[in-house]
Amino acid sequence: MKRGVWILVGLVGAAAWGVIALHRGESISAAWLVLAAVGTYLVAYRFYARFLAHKVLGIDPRRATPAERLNNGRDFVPTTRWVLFGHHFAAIAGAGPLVGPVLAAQFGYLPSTIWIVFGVVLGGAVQDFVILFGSMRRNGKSLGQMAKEEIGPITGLFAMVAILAIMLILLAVLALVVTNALKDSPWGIFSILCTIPIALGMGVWMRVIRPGKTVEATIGGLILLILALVGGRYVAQSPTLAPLFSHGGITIAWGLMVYGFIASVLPVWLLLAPRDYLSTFMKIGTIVLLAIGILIVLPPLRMPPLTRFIDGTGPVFAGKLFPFAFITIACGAISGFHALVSSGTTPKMIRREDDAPLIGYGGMLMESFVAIMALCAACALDPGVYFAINAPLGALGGTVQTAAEHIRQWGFTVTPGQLDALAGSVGEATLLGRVGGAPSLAVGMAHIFSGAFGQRLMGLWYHFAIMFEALFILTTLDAGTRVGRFMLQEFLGHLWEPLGRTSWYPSNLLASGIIVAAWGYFLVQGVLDPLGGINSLWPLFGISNQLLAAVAFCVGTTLIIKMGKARYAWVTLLPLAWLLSVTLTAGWQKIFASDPRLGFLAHARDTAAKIASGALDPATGARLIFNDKIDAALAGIFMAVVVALLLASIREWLAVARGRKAAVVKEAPYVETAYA
Amino acid sequence: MWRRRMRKRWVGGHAGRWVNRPITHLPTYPPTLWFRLRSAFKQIAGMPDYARYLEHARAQHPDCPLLSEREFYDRFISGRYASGGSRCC
Repeated sequence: MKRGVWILVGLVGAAAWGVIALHRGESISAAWLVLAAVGTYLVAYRFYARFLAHKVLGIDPRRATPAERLNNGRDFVPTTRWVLFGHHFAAIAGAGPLVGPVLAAQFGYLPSTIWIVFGVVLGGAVQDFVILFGSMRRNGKSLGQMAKEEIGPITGLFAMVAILAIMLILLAVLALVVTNALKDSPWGIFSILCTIPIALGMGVWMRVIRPGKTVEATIGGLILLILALVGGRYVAQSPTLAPLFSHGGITIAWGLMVYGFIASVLPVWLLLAPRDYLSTFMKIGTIVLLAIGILIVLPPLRMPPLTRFIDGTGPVFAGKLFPFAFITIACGAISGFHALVSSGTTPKMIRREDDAPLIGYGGMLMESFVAIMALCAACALDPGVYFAINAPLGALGGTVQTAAEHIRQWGFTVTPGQLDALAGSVGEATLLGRVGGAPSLAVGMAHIFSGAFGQRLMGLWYHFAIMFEALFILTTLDAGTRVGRFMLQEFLGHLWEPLGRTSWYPSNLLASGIIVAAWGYFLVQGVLDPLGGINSLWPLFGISNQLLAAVAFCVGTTLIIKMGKARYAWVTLLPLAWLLSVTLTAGWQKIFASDPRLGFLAHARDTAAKIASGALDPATGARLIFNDKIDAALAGIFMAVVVALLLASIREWLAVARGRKAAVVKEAPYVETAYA
Repeated sequence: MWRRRMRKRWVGGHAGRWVNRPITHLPTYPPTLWFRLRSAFKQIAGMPDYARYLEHARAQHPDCPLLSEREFYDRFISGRYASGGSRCC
C-alpha cells in the first residue's frame, strides 16, 4: 500500500516533467510546474533525506538534543516539530526566493524550473540539513565557529570577513529593489512610511502599555497596515497629497539609509521586534495566499520555455545561461545564508534528533516551492509586459512607444496602450524600467490574486504585494545593519577596547554609521547606474551568496569525513564542485569579460573611451570607472577567500584520509534523551 | 493528564548529573486547542511565550523567583536579537 503511494507520487512527478520537457509551441499551465516540483520534493524527502539522515549523518533518536539538555525556557526550548518547521521556514524565507526567479525568467521558465527543483534536492536542502545537524550536535554553534574548530582558526576569520562583505552587498541590493519599486509612487511610499509609526506603536504597546501581549499588538498592527494600504489610494489620487509622497530614486535611497541608521541604534523592542512580527505574518499569509491563488487560477505560462536571451544579450541582466542563471537564482535553489540560520536559533530548539530532516531538508524544500510560485507568477505575465517592467530605462527609451518598439525588436509584442492601461490599473504613472523584480512579481501576483479573489482590486493587490516585500526588506535592512555593526565592533574592539563595547553609545553610532555608509554607497551607485544597478549588484550578491554556500559545504564535508563517513562525502562534494564551477566562472566573467555590459573592467574601459570622445562628462565617467573597479575588486576578494577556504579544507581532508589526523569530531557528549 | 510523570533526566549541561524530574514536555497547562494554537503561533513568529516560560520555570527551577511578564519579555527580546537576529535574504 505504502509502496504504491510512492510509486504513484513518482509517476505523477515524472509525467509532469515529461509534459514540461516535450511541450513546444503553445503555452502550458503552471499546474505542470507545480506538480513536477511537488512530486520531486516528496520523492526526494522520502528517499534522499532519509538516506542522508540514517546512512550519512547517523541521526540518533535516542540522543538528547541541546534543547533538551540545556533547556532554559528562552532560547534553548524543545519545540514541536511542525511549529519549529514553521519558525525555521519563516526565518529562511525572504525576498531572495521571490526576486531571483523573477529576474532569471528572462531565460524562459525551463532552465529556472530545473535548477530550482534539482538544485534544492541535491544541493540547497542538503546544505541546510547538514549544517543544522552539525550545529545541533555542537550545542548550536554558528557556522563561523564550526569552521574555526573543525578546519582551522584562519578559516574562521576568513568566513567572518566573507559574511560581513556578503551582508553589505545583500543590504545594498535589497534596498535597491525597494527603491526601484517605490520611486515616483505616492501610493507605495505612503503605505511603507505608515509601517514605521505602526511598528513603533506596537513596540510601545507590547513593552509599556500591555507587556508581553504580542499577539493582540500584532493583530492590531496588521489591521492598521491594511488601512494604510487602502489610504494610499486616496493619497495617490489627491492632487495636494500625491506630490508630498512622490520622490525620485536618490531621495528614497537616502531615506532608506537614514532609516537603516536610526533603526539599528534604537532599542530592539521599539522597532525591530514589532516589525519582525508584522513581516513574519505578512510573509506567511501572503505565501499561503499566493499558493491558493495559483491553485485556483492555474495560469498559463506565457513566457516561452527558452528565450533568445540565453546567449547573454538579455536586457534584465547580462550574461549567458551558464553560469548566470545559477547565480541569479540563489535562494530557492541553494542559499549560503541559510547556513547562518541553520546554525543560529533553530538547532537550539529541536526537540528530537529525528526531527532534523523535516526541519532542515523539508524547510528548504518549502522555500524552493516559494521560488517556483514566484517563477509561475512572473512567467504568467505577457513576456512583453515582463520586459517592459524589468529592462532598464536605458534599454527601453523613456516612453511607452519607444518601449513597445524595443520590445518588438526583441521578438515580443506589446502595445503602448496595453502598458498605459496596466500602469493605470495598479495606480502608478508608469511601470517602465522598474528593475529589481519586485514590481513585476507584484504585477504577476496581482494578476493571480485578482483572478482568484475578484477582478476589481488589481491596484490594491499590486500595492499589497509591494508592501509585503518592502516590509520584510526593511526588517532585513535593520537587522542586517545590526549584524554588521556587531561584527565590526568585535573587530574594532581589538584596535581600541571601548569601541568593542556594544553598550557604549558612541561606539554603536560609529559602527552603525560605517555599515550604513558601506551599503549606502553601493545603493546610491546602483540608483545612478545607467544600466539599472541590478545588472551589476544582483550578480555580485548571487556570487557572494553561492560562495557562502561553498563555505558551508566545505564545513559539511569536513564534518562528514571526520565522522568516519568519507565514503559518503560525495553528498556535499558534488554540490560543492558545481557551486565552485558556477561561481568562479561567473566571478571571472564579471571581472574580465570583454562585453562592457558584463565585465566590470571592460565597462571601465568603455566608459574611459566615451570620456575621451566627449560622449560622457568626465565627472560622471570617473565615478562610473571607480565604481567598476570597486565591484571588480569585490568579486576578486570573494573568489580569493573561497579558494583559500577550499585549500585549507582540502588539506584537512587529506590529513584525515592519510591518517595523519584522527577522524574525531568535536561534538557535545552523548546523553540519552527522555523524550522517547 | 494532570498527574506529573517522573523520569531520570540529565541536568546541568556538560558537568551535569542524573536527577529525578517531572517530564516537562507533557503539557501541564490546560491542553485546550486555543492555548496550543496561541503557543504555536507565538513560537513560529519567534515571540516570547510567557505561559511556556512559567511552566518551564515552575517545573525546573521551583526555588527561583519567577520573572514578571515585562522582565521576561525584555530578556527574551534582548536574547533573540543579541547578534542582530538571524534571517535570510
